[in-house]
Amino acid sequence: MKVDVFNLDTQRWKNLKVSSEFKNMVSHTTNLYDDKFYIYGNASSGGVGLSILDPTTEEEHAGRITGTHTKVSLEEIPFPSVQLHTATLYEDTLYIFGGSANGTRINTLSSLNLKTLSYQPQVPIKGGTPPGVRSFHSACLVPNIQVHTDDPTTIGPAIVIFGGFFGLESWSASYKGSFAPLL
Amino acid sequence: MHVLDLQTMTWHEGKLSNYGTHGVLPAARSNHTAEYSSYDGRIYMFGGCYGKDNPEVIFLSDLYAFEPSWTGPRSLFEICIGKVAGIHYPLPGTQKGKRKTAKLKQESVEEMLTRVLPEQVREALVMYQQKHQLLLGVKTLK
Repeated sequence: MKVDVFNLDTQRWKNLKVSSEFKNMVSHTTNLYDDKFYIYGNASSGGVGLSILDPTTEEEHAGRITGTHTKVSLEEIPFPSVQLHTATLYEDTLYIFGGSANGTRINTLSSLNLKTLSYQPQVPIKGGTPPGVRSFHSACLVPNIQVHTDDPTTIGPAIVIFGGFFGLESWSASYKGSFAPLL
Repeated sequence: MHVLDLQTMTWHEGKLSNYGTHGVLPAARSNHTAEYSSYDGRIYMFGGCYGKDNPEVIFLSDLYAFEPSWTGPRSLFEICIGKVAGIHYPLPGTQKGKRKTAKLKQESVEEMLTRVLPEQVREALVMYQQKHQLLLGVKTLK
């Protein structure tokens, strides 16, 4: 796995060398928590797993930096196979929404407490209608948001989901489907 | 736009349907980015792709700002459209010839903003710049 780091102070790129156990991945998400990168899901290994990369223990050898990498095995946490999802961090919890699991788009909201590494496959929802199945969408955390134009009340903190791709065909079929409106 | 209230764990569906009041609504898309800026309390949405009823995916290079705490007039506006790899991809849903490409490398940001933004949005930008001295979106484009 190749990890590139752009130093904002020096405006220079550096390569972060990680162990060979850290396999190549795509369609995953990365969140920074407690000075570590939590990398969830990826396609190249079947869309399964959580990797934790600690760049603070880096050692530099011949211009390359080595970070400590930990792979949390499936035996420890029963992760679903997911990719093309979003992962939004709020306090100690990562909220994982949508994506593609085993070739099927989903609209499941699951959570992972990064402090305890406890996983909740389906977060209980108390009301409202969840977004439809989708992948390639975006999500971000906001402290407050006014949901309706005619109602000045704000809610929050909240996760805002924008757009995405939905359709009936799985990824084994051609790239065909519909795009969700952004707003 | 779907909103999950983390306090009540309730889903909401936000709507900004008053076209013209809020500026140009972004086209439906996927593969885009949306980041909340704690600097100015706005969500910046960039790019993505669009391909409904089209065998070829159209890549977008537009930048939108959205004020989540206020869905009134001017809560949403398009910062600019630009170029991706030297190819101009027009925003779907707009009339051909109505929109011009922003040549980010050949003109100043002020010139570009004057050319691509509606007058009322430019006024909002000027007011915002006067208030905060700096517009994060413009800074990013530089």
